[in-house]
Amino acid sequence: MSALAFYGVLFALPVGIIAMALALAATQRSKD
Amino acid sequence: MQETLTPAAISADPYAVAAFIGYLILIVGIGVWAARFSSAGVSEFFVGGRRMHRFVVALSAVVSGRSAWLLLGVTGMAYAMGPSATWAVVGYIVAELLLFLYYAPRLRRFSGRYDCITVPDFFAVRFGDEKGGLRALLAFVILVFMVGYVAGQFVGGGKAFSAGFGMSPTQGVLLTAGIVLVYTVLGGFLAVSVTDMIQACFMIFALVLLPIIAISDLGGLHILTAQLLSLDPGLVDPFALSVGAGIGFLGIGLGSPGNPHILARYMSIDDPQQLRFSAVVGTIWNVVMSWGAVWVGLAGRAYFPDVAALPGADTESLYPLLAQQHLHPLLFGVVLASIFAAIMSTADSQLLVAASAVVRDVYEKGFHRGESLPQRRLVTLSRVVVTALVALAVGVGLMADQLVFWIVLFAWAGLGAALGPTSILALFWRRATRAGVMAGLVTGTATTIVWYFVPALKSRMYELVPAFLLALLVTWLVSRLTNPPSDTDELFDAMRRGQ
Repeated sequence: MSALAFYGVLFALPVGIIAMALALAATQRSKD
Repeated sequence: MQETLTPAAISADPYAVAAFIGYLILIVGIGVWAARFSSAGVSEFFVGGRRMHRFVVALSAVVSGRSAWLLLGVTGMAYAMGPSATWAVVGYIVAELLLFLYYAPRLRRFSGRYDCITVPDFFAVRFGDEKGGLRALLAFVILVFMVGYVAGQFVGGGKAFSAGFGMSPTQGVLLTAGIVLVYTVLGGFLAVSVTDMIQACFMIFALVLLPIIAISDLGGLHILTAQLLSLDPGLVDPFALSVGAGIGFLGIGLGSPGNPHILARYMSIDDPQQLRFSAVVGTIWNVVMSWGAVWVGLAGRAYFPDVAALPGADTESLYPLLAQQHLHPLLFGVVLASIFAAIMSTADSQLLVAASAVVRDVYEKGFHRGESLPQRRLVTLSRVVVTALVALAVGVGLMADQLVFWIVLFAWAGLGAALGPTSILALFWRRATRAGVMAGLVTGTATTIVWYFVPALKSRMYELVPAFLLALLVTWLVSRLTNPPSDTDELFDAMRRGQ
């Protein structure tokens, strides 16, 4: 659990935030 | 154990000094290059004539909000707390992503339609502030916080020069102020934005390179985690913090929509549709820089398990110390430059916002309301005001460092709580009124200060979170009790469609 949380926050979370940025930007583009 | 430790020292050799001087020449050269464009008018001087490229806006908006706190403070927090320090960066990264995508386009379209150059300009037009009371209140709040903020950056620069190059702190303050003064006075917003972009590159380069090399020198990620675990299991647990601390960390992001030196970047882009691109680039930059800072802190803890091994037993000296021990002197010079990049990219943006409050909001729209003033005269005046504000900030920084400490402490939270909820409601809620916004501004600032000084409250949560929510509530409540401007539909149309 601890290793999962450690690697999740330090690797998966930043990738997830960038993926969210790409997804939201793409959604807004389709609205325009 | 502590008695046997000799703190490591930081000192720059000729290679590092050469790299650093090269960086300074580049920054000042941009100021000289941008001078011609910025002299055209006050719009060019303060928002780059709203012709900034999407890439420049992305990086400038991001690094204007990241002072030395990221490089020295977050690295130190990760050193002390482990990966739970990550939550201190998540809040502002997500907040700024949402600002780029939803808040910034409305602000940019509105400011283009009504020729708003400053944040008080936006509020004055949005709420029909004919008597100028709202504009004056905003200009005053911005000026006080921003001068204190700039003074704080200069003091930080002084300390960094002192630690890295053996100068006295006073010489360091004067040198930092002198460099910022030259390129800001000459080049205005264009120079500030382009130098911000270059400083962002210095920062990201250093924050990616240093943790990779430091962890590789240690033997790899598995050695790092094993060492941290043997020191303290909390150093590998990202949830080893209280709920109040976690909310407070995430709440740091509430400051972003209220800090006018960040908002001015959104107002400067050439095409509001391009803010989508800026959102993605800005978020990538924010993520990489911030996680880099956390990794530097974690690696540093493995190298220096005891804080007494750091110069002055100060966790904020970890970043330059680790760089000196693991990088070639030339790259160490780049790391030192990245600290000044963080300081100067914030100070220059804040300086311009403070100057715009004096020139645009007090002089042009206050003392000379309704008059058409020559643009060249306003630009000359802007340059004089920037110079005077630098002198004031240096004076405050050198003579009243306690005052600076307090102002800087309150600046991010105070501006965030005052301008954040009011500007969000002004942009997204038709029923917002001038009286509601004024009540929200006062509530946000006052709550920030009161919360900080009551220990029972302060120990529970970072003051920005309750102050932001209370200001939001008061703005909403007072707005419900008063009448919105009669032309609200037309104003909202400008936010949606622009020109």
